[in-house]
Amino acid sequence: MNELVKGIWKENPILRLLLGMCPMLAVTTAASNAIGMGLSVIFVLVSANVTISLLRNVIPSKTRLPCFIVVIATFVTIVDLVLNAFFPDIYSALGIFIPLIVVNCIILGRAEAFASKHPVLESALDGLGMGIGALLGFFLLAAVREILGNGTLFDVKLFGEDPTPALVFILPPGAFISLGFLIAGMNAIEARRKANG
Amino acid sequence: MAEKKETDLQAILVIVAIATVCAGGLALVKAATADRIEQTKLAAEKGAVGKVLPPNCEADTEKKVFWNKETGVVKSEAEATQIFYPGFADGKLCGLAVKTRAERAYSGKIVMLIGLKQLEQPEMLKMHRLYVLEQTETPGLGAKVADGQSIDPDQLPSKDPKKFFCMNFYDKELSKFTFDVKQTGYSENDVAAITASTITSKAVAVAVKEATEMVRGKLPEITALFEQQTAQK
Amino acid sequence: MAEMSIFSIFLVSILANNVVFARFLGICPYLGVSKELSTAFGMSAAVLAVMTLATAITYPVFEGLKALDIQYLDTISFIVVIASLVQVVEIVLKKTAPSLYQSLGIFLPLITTNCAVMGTALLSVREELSYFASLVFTVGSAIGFAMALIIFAGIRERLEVRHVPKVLQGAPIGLITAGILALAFMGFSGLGS
Repeated sequence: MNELVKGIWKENPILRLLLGMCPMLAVTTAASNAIGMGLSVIFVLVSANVTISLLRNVIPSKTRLPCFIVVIATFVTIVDLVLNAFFPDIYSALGIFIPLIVVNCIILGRAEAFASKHPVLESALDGLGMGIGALLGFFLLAAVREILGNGTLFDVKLFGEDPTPALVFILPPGAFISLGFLIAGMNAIEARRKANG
Repeated sequence: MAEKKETDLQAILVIVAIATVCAGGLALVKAATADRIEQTKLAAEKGAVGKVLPPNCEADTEKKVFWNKETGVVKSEAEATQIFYPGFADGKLCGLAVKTRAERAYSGKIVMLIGLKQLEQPEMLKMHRLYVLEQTETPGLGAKVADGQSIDPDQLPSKDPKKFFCMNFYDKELSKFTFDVKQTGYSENDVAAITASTITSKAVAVAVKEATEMVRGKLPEITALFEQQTAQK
Repeated sequence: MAEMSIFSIFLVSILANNVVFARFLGICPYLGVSKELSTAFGMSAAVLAVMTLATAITYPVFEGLKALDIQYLDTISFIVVIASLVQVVEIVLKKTAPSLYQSLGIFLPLITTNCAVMGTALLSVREELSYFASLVFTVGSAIGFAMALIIFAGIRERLEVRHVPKVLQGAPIGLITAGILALAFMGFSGLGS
């Protein structure tokens, strides 16, 4: 159980371990994109973790990284094809960041640090937990940026017909700054938790 | 020494085995999704063209014609600078959509569709609607070229081109249209520029002007080409 | 982008569409490495070399995939090419410039997961640039990455001796600084028109 939960808060891959920053900034312009990316990451993480865990006694240590990469790339390509076929809107919204999931340090990191050394069930849970943590991270930032920068959430107008939102949040500078404050916020919460015992 | 060689060979074999299984798996997934992907693409194309054609005029994307502004009719999308799509009602040609692009807008290219109607005579040609397919302009500024384009023009809260840029090209007679881009003091036959985004507005106006002039100049030829496509099928 | 002049592509990829501040590629090494100017320079040089070689090799690979109608294998083939390239660069550096090899440490193999490398390789084929234009685009992007890294390292060196609130230390202040830099770079947009 711990395997599942640790990825969500304490070892949240994006907000605490600071992995996978590139898609975090790029796809969080709208909450729906964030969910799409989060679900894709969960699929790849769990599938790759399970596969690598199953093969962990077969993959030779010296060439393990290329093996991991090929396995991960395969699942990423599956996501790419499936999204293109069944969810074209998300496919065009996420664009080049779908294939870039393959170089997302979260996935390679978990394969190396966990899945290659633990049995299948634990690896699957680890992947699921980390994936959910990533999805939460994406969603949190996207919600902030969409609400402040567009006046909507999931394309539902929140502030009436003609809001004048702070556009900067949808643009690159807003992405960096929002994420910076988000992580600072997490740090503050963690510090308070530690202080309270 | 012999032992080391064994593990090296083993290592290579394992990778090759994994790679082969993966490639095989992907081929299966690809086969399973290929049709669907093609279908989605065609449906999207037909939907987009349908948006710019007048009501009751059905888009026929299978009869599309690839056109290069320098060489005329070409065989593939790669060689084309424009694509012409016909629209039919009861077998008669009722509308024409041109897919064209502005290569250098503010932050890159803009791909758009402009729908035309009243094709009996080049002098009577009217622009029906503009639909932006791809753009990477600044949100809140150049990106406003696409504002309101998904909504049926009759259901838009306002037809003010300053509010909805696509209204600049709604139901306009080509023979009277100037394609002059102005921030203020524009008439209904000019293009009202998006506030603070003159470059984007101009890029789109120029692309639409070029496309419509092409149609105006070659209307009989293009109509004949559509008929040829019909005959071939 | 297909019709832009070569010089335009070059300039735009460095400034207006900066790979870090506008395209959001290469963020991890950007945040992680740049605490010292000298490391930033070394890293930039390594990334420039890998990125250019990567695009130079993956482009013809993609043409080959197109010819065989197996484009969906692009993700796998590209990353395999890049991973192998980084291995080769590591071996070469170890022999020819051991001090640089040492100072880069773990960041050298991590170039494999640098989204800027894979990203520019993919963008080159997706945007349908010519072979030469892709190389110009890649070199420009690498220079843009270097600029981002070096400016950032310079600022960070100064930040080290200033008082920063505890919750903002580390990544947060780095990101906020990046945001301000991104704002500055936004001033370059429209450069190619």
